[in-house]
Amino acid sequence: MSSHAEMHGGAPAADLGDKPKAWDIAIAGLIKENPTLKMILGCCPTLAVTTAAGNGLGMGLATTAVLMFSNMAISMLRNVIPEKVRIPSYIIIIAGFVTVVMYVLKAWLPELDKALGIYIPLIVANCILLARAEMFAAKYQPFPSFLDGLFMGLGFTLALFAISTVREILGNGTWFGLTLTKDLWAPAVLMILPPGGFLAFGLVITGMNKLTNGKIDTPLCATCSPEDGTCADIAPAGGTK
Amino acid sequence: MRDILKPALVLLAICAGVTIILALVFNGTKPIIAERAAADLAAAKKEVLATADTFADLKLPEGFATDEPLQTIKAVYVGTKGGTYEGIVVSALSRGYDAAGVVLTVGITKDGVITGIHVGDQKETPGLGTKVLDKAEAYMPQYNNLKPEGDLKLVKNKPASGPASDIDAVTGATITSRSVWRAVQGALEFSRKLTPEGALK
Amino acid sequence: MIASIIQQVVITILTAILVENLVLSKFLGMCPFLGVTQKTSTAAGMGVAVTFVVVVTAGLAWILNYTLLVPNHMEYLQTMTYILIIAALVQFVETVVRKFIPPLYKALGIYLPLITTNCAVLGVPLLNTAKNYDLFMSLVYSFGAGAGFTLALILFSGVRERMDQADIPATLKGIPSALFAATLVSMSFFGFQGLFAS
Repeated sequence: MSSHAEMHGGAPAADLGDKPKAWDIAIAGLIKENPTLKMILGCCPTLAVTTAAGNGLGMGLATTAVLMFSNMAISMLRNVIPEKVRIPSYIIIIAGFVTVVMYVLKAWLPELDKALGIYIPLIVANCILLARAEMFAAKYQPFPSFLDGLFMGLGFTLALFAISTVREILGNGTWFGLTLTKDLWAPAVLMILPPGGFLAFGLVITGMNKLTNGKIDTPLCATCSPEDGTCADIAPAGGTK
Repeated sequence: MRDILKPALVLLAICAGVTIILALVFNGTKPIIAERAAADLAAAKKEVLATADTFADLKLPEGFATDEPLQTIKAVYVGTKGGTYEGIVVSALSRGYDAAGVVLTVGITKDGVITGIHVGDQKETPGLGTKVLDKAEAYMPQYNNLKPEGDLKLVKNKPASGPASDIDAVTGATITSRSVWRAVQGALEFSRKLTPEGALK
Repeated sequence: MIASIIQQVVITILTAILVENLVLSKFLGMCPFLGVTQKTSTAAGMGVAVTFVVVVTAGLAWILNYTLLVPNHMEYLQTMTYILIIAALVQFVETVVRKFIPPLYKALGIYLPLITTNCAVLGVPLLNTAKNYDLFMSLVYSFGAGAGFTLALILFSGVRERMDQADIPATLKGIPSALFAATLVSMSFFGFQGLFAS
């Protein structure tokens, strides 16, 4: 599994050593290894719920909550779970926390629950959770794992927030419901419709690339298997790196 | 055999642990969720039929939904104040642009006046369908305090001199416009099935 | 009677493929959409595998939901149950394919176990539950959803194979250009909205 970790851009994880420092964890989660903008993980909610800044923020924070606690729980059980049932165990734990968050939202933030709809239970299928469980929580202590969950989640939230801000302002003329340009000119409704999701996502990634001088060719989520620890050699679109 | 037993047991234990936690959370939040739903419904009823203060469920007769508008009706509540029948509140789910439909609550007084429409859950096209449903825009106010003699009709490009019972659909958003019309028309038709005392004829 | 059932089936399938396309409208199954569409052959293989898993999962999920969870008021276990069914099914499919169709196993390679974390595969039984479909309509809808997913993947891989030969600036290479292409494909499908509304 160590080769798998390395393939998953695990080099930074190796740099963290035995006792990763909080600062390193934070920078990794927010910028260097931003799960959505750099590793292209968790794309489904990224496109689906970013029609309004409030929804993007809400989904990001809900996912962060699940991530923190699932990472912590998995880290606490990491020496108890046998190798054979690693993935199913992680999945059960993650599904459990997602369901808890779902009912908490239904009870205390019903507006957000209605806005996010089925994408809340779909947090379970968000690659970020399983990826962090595998790459971090399975190897490190509970508190660093909790922090990793927190900052990866915040990185995800940041990405969602950026994308939904672009979409809401351009597509509705509002931001968090506050009217900005809505009355000045007709907004580009396309931005809040599905095509706008792809567009905004592409724009934000391009912006992130320019800012950090990085480049992504193949989404990690689709190329690395949790089971085999192998990665396919896929020629990236557009030719050589 | 040994090396299957331990993993299976651990998996089972985790399953059981998670299930117990979920059961606790579910039962803990259930009353809060139910209370909220009841409060929302009560508020919607009050909003659309302000003259009544008590609402009773009406048992819908078999096969009453003989046309499309009537088919939108999911529940009917009889509103009374001090024992006198004031009108009905109809909960409807009307097919819209989005497959899930638009949830609408319509209030009709005993005299056949449309006193209120409350828009519930909907996922219509932002900027187009949602504009139709916005009470600050031109479409919804057409129904305010309307007392149609016959049926409501949805028309396009209604002339200024047209009858009040002709509802002008919003250009480019006729499907959402029709969605609202269907629910209100259904409520109207149903209200005519009741006697002046609020019982089914 | 038969005619109205057939009509319902056709409308449901067409809606699932065109109007509410899993990938292009609901954004489910984005990872394989972006990651596996460099070649049409792998895209097609992935699509078929996902369709199979989706249909079988939908059936099993429906049965477990309505015979076990709902009668015992344990709807809160739906998410956990569905994802476990998927994990087990994918494991089973992997074993069977590896044993009986080795060439296919080699071709799909690591994409097979990845179906477990595919939002589309978990999304379909959740949608079936939300729409209160009976078993028959669940299977019909799942099939349509899988077909739509396959269609989207194949179409997009065609676009990307063409894009491969174009000269793209470095910052946009790879994912960003793929996303801009996806914007256009999604727009073309958006034209199907309102196909069955009156």
